[in-house]
Amino acid sequence: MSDPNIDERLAALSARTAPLRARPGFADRVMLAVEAEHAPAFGVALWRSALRLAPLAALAAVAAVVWAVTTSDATSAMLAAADTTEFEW
Amino acid sequence: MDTLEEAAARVRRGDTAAFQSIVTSTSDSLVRLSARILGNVSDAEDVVQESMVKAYRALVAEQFDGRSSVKTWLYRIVTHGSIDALRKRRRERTTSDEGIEAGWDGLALAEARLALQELTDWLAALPEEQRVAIVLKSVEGLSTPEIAEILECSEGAVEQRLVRARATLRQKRSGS
Repeated sequence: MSDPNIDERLAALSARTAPLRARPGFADRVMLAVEAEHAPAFGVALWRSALRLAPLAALAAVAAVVWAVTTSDATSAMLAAADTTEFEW
Repeated sequence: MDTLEEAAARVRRGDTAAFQSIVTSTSDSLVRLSARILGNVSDAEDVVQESMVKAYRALVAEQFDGRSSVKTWLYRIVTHGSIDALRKRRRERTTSDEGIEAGWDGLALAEARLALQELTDWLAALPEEQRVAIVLKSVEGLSTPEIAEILECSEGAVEQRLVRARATLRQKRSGS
């Protein structure tokens, strides 16, 4: 089973390699990689938030069309009534 | 400061910053573990970085079931990542005929790196699974049940790998 010589040598190598550690800045590098991983999820969240505003945006579009048609009718009526208006080509 | 379990729970609730405390408190031991398997700090850092991204992804997707401790779970991810890196490196060596060298990236930990080189040379003859088992047992000082959990095999299988690894190392010593 266990071999004292092998186990002793491995224990000594364990102690001698104990000071090994990640290089300075390693944790920051990892967090950058994690945040890059997180970015698509942020994009999805943004898209979902945008979808929540879709009904409001549709309502605003309808209001804009109604306003445009109303304004256009008023302008046409005004142009038809004014006989001094001429177009120059 | 949060325990690893508390930090993991916060990450699951969407607190990305909580992952920073997991990274900070485990990086050194995980890089050391991977370096002892791979024989190279630089490669070990790459493996740990990839493993951390995998761990984060799993936490966010609620794939960590909490049956083992966070530490054991991270050890498992890093150990499997290191085994994959070892296999990849061995495949590349057979095609490009390049040897495995311990990294020397200018850190002041010269003695530790010499010892790492010595460990790598000594364990080079072992197949990956025996090499990992003996590193976890005799270098990392983990118990057989912990190793079985990390390697996802039975305790008997761990013992068998250890016996074979020691026999190979004994043969190597008597041959040299």
